[in-house]
Amino acid sequence: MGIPIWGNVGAAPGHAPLTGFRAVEEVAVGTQRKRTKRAREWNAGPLAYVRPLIAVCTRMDMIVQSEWSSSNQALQKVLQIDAEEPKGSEDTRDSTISSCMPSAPVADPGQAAARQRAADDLNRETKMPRVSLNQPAPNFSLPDFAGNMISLSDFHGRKNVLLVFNRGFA
Amino acid sequence: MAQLRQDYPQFVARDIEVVVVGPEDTRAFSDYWHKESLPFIGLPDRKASVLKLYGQEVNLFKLGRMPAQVLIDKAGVARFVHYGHSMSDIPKNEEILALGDEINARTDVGA
Repeated sequence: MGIPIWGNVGAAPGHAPLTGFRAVEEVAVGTQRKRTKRAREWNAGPLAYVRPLIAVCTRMDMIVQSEWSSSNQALQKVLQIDAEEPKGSEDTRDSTISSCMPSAPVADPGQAAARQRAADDLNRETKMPRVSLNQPAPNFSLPDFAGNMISLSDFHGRKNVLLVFNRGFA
Repeated sequence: MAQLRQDYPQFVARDIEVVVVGPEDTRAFSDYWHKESLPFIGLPDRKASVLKLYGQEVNLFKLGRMPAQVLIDKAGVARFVHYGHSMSDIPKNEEILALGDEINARTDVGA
């Protein structure tokens, strides 16, 4: 069944059927409109979700390639330095590596400071000053589980004390 | 803790009072002490005040406090300090008892 170039090509109710070139033209325009409509639907539908993913993947690929290229560049220079100056060239090598590697992105100063403060707090909590051998042990007072106040100084001159810091027995 | 209880008379014989500091609350301490019939002093340190004072390490990756032991002589001087690097890094009682003997011998000579 061929394309009806000549002859009647359908007709809307109440309209005369289209004939000849006019009919072909109308069919072509209609097809184009359908294609445009379909493309618009795709753009608003599935492609709207897929496009950002493609953009991210492309960006990641570019970053990886850039990092690899920089690292490879640094490696090549280090090997070159090694070949030319086998001794005493560590400083040159380090500076070469740092100059070739991509610099870290500059973070927001406020955010970086907050992060540093959090790290310092954690370190203070986990890496506290310790008791030194042959130095006076810091005094403390704390009620025992029965409510009796216990101070280290209570034992001075009377008893030695073995202070056991327990992990927890519960 | 069981080993400490077992050897407690030997600590007493050397004028050593055992004081256990832990993160549990008063009730947990009381229950555990009565259940295990522990003869030494138990100090609930919920606010970690003594922990901070003595620098007991908290290892987040090992989920809690690392064990630590400090032997303090009658003059209030730390004569043995051990900070454990793992849960099982705890010195043997024999080592501490021997040190107690040494401390007492020095005190006797000094007196």
